[in-house]
Amino acid sequence: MKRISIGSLCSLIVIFYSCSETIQEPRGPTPFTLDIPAGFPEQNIQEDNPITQEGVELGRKLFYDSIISNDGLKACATCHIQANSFSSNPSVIPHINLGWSHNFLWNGAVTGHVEDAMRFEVEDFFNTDLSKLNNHTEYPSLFEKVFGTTTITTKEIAYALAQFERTMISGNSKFDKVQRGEDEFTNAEEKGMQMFFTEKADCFHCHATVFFTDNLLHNNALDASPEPGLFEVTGDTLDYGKFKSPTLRNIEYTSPYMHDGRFKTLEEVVDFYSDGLKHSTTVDPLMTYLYQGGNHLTAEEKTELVAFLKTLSDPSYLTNPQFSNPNNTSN
Amino acid sequence: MACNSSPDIAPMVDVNLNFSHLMNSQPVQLDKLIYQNSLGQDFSIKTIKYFISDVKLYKADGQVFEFPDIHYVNIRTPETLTYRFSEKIPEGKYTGISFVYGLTKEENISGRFPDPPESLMEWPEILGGGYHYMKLEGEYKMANEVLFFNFHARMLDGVSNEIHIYDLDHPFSVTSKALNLDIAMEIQHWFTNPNDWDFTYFGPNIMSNAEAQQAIHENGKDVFSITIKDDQP
Repeated sequence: MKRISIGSLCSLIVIFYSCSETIQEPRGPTPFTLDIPAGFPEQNIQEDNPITQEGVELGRKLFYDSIISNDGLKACATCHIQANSFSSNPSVIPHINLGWSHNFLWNGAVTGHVEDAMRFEVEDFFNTDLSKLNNHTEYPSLFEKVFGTTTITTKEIAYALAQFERTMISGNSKFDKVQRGEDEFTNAEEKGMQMFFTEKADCFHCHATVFFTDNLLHNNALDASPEPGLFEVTGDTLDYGKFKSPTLRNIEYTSPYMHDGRFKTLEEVVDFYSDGLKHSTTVDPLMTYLYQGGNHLTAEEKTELVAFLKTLSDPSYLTNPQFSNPNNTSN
Repeated sequence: MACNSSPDIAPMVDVNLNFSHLMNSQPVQLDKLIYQNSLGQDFSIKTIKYFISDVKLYKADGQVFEFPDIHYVNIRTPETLTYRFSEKIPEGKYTGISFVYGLTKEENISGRFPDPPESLMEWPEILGGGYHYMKLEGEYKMANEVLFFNFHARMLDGVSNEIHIYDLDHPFSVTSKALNLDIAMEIQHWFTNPNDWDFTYFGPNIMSNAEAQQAIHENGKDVFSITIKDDQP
């Protein structure tokens, strides 16, 4: 006959009590660990918006849901199309590696974190009708799981979208593979790279760091009478004609180019920098070839530079199922 | 510099750096094509960004207080023009100061700065990697044309050309006030002594130009001056 001592019984009671206590505890959302590519820095995560599995899923659902627009006609994904590296014609800024960005929109109207950019989209661009979300059969419970509240405001919508945006990371281009020693440039790509990263073509000062953007705004000598750009935001005449340097990652998929989409191809872009620079008073001094209208690359050099730019393409980003439409309806 | 409540330990004092940028001893006016170099060439200044590192304070009793901080200065970003070290120094008599313009070779490692604005000073790997020590940009006049110049400085061929600035015969007392070290850059000195900088000879771009980098290194020795506020020798 088996005996259970008092001591063992006490232990069992404690174990049962502990178990039942664990089960009764309210469970928070599951922390989400970002998959940061080699060579990329850590993201600066907002303390009040930690990334969670449930938050990312909610953000992704919202990204593809036209409930977010006041008239119910547009979702984020309507203009930010995955097949185009989350951009579209004309000249919609691609959503790629935005978790590291700190200036947003072509004219830099929003600064801060991607949370701030999403808040601008929700409040100013979409003018989201909060009653639609608060009265929805599904969303209030989804928001409660992430933020612990069933009252949905623009802040929670923006924060959920920001959590999804922070996962939208691209770092698996041929360029990255060459950096990791997994691939090699062709001869043309190598020559293009040499031009890109020296003052021969001098692309790297603005298209800087692993993100191929300095996230700053410059007048790149596009027009003799430039559009206002950053001036619209600051009112400072020194900011006239300044626009954000876009990332060159996946640039192959984000035609057309420049803030107004004036160039259809990368060849046209390289032609502009080579031979089409226009003087205006706020042109950035980094445009050192301004006085002669450009750096006058040969046809062969232009081809090589474009070949290098295409090594920045990460086709896996266009098909990554983690970023695709999770809803039944397509947008 | 550990905490100690012993009464014979001197009170600790904050150390502040304040940066100014002069042209012919006056505060530089940005974006104005009103200056001439030693060769009489007209030029303007639009950008000044650089690193200051390895600040050391030499105490009269032989102690050396060394700050590991690397400070980025951008003339257009007012908050970078002052800097307070997190570490403090004890009151007492000091004999001098030294610091490094740029980064020492040991610190000039790619990836050292993950975030902007410091990360935007990166120097391409194919030119040796690491960081620009300085981006000094502006315009110069050649005949009737106005051209940009990018006076971007660092090193070539693995030779580090940071400049060690020593001001070791400069006795001062640190009292209970914060110690203010005013570091002034006389921009004109980048362009003369011993090398008269010829904008038309060096042209707009010099990152791959060893002769230009060497000239910058040689000219930089008297670019910086240090003034100690509340100087009480």
